[in-house]
Amino acid sequence: MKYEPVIGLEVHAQLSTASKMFCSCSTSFGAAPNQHTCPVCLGLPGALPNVNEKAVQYAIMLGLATNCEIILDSQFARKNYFYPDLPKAYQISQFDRPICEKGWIDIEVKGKTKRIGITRIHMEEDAGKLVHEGEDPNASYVDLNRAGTPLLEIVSEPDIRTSEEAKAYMEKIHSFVTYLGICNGDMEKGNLRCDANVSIRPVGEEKFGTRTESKNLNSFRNVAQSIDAEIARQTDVLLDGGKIVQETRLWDANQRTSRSLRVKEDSQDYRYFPCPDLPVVLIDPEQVNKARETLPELPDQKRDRFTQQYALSPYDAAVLVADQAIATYYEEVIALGADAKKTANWVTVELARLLNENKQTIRECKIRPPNLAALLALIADGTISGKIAKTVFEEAFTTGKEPGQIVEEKGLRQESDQGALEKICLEILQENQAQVAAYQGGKDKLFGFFVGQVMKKTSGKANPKLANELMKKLLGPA
Amino acid sequence: MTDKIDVKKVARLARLNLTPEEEKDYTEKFQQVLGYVDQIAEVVIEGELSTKDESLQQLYRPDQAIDSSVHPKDFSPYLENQFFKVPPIIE
Repeated sequence: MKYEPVIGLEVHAQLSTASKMFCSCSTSFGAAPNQHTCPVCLGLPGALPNVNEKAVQYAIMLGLATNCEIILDSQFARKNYFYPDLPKAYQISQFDRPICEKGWIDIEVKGKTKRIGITRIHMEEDAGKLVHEGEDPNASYVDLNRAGTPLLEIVSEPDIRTSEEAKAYMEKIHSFVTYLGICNGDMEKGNLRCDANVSIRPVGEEKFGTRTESKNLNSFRNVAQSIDAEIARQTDVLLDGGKIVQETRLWDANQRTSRSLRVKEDSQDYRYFPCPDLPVVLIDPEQVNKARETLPELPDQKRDRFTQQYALSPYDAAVLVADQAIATYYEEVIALGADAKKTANWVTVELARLLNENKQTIRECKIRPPNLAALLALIADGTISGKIAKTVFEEAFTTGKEPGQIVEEKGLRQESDQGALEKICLEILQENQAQVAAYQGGKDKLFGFFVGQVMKKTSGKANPKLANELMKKLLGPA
Repeated sequence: MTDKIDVKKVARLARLNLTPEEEKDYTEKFQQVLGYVDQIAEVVIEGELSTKDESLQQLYRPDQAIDSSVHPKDFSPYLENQFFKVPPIIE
């Protein structure tokens, strides 16, 4: 039997506010354990929560960006469960009245656009951190610095069918929250994390199968790999005549397998009820209009602008806008007069490769936009060839030196002097008379050999176009 | 109208181990609580009942980090190296 996967993602974005969701404690990372705590986030009796205005603004911004309806009277609810990282024994979240509902985003997979529904976006607070490796092996240790940090949970419709779509969706959400500046998007630090709900059903079947939830997916690659592994696992279980158990599974990125974490609690087990400490979150429609007007240019709009303004392919444009910092870098190079298409190639191929190999971000990169613009100018005016430019680029990437300086220091200037090149060509013909005879006897494939010799003799500095022309002239017809 | 409560399940959610006597005791107590709910459900009301009180205005707080004047180290006897020490949690 053939099965079809049905996938929905729950993404948690930690908001980059200065203070927590319901108290004024700092959200900064790296303080001593329990330093950033107060009676509210410690859950001490009598302490009352107080909503962070900016967190609500951020939720509205993301809701608008993802085409959601903004609910003007949303409500906080208590989600009750017992775990030591949750000092109140409930998490303040939203349940039946989240702040945003019924949105969508478009993703691109294999050149096709697919619309993925957003069921809801709700506000909630993060839990603390548990440490199991302390002095006493028979104890766990709790740090509540993170407890109460504002989160947005973005829940997708079960519209995703492949791991590739899931990855594209996650990348889209990442670009949205970073473009909006509401979350720094650092997945390794857990600032943006993802749980994947996966089930499979026979092709043609309408009803969903039993789903599992995979947690701990802290990179785009983990999202894709864990989903593929879970689809394979569930298929094996069903083909063996087994049943899927609704459970939470923990993904182990090193082993590339998952294991059962716990049998999942049903929604009713959380005994959600409206939080009596917090009145309804009333939002002025005027505030929503203002937020709509002040939204920055979003990835999709930027992509469309790039394809029109710079005549880029939709693919190149999508690669450039996926990271706002890269898109800005690109436009800074263009503003210095560089060719749009050539710059796109350099940024998406050479620069992306070096950043990836050296695990660097564009902000850390030593080649700044003026350096890349200078390099492209050197190619454009014939000072260096495209091939030599790659050497210069790598050197500049490592040392941060000006491309022009590297060209001078290493003597990489392209040889475009016709007389000098012709002399070299004649030398080569003199040295390789057997090949010349063969070429003139009809072996026209040898032409590449002669040009290769010119490049070799000039250490790659000969102007390739000129070398071609000269050789053709000197050799005569094949 | 109230279903019989599954005390075992509630205990599991609360991560409590109950003795058979405790189970019996809690079953009775829970049934009493649910009995009160049944009593409330019998009240006849007119119009729609709202769970939200819109007369209360949400007071927002500007996003400003202010250090608390109260810290666990000033009052908690459960700290070790500034962490709260709790019974082991192994999933």
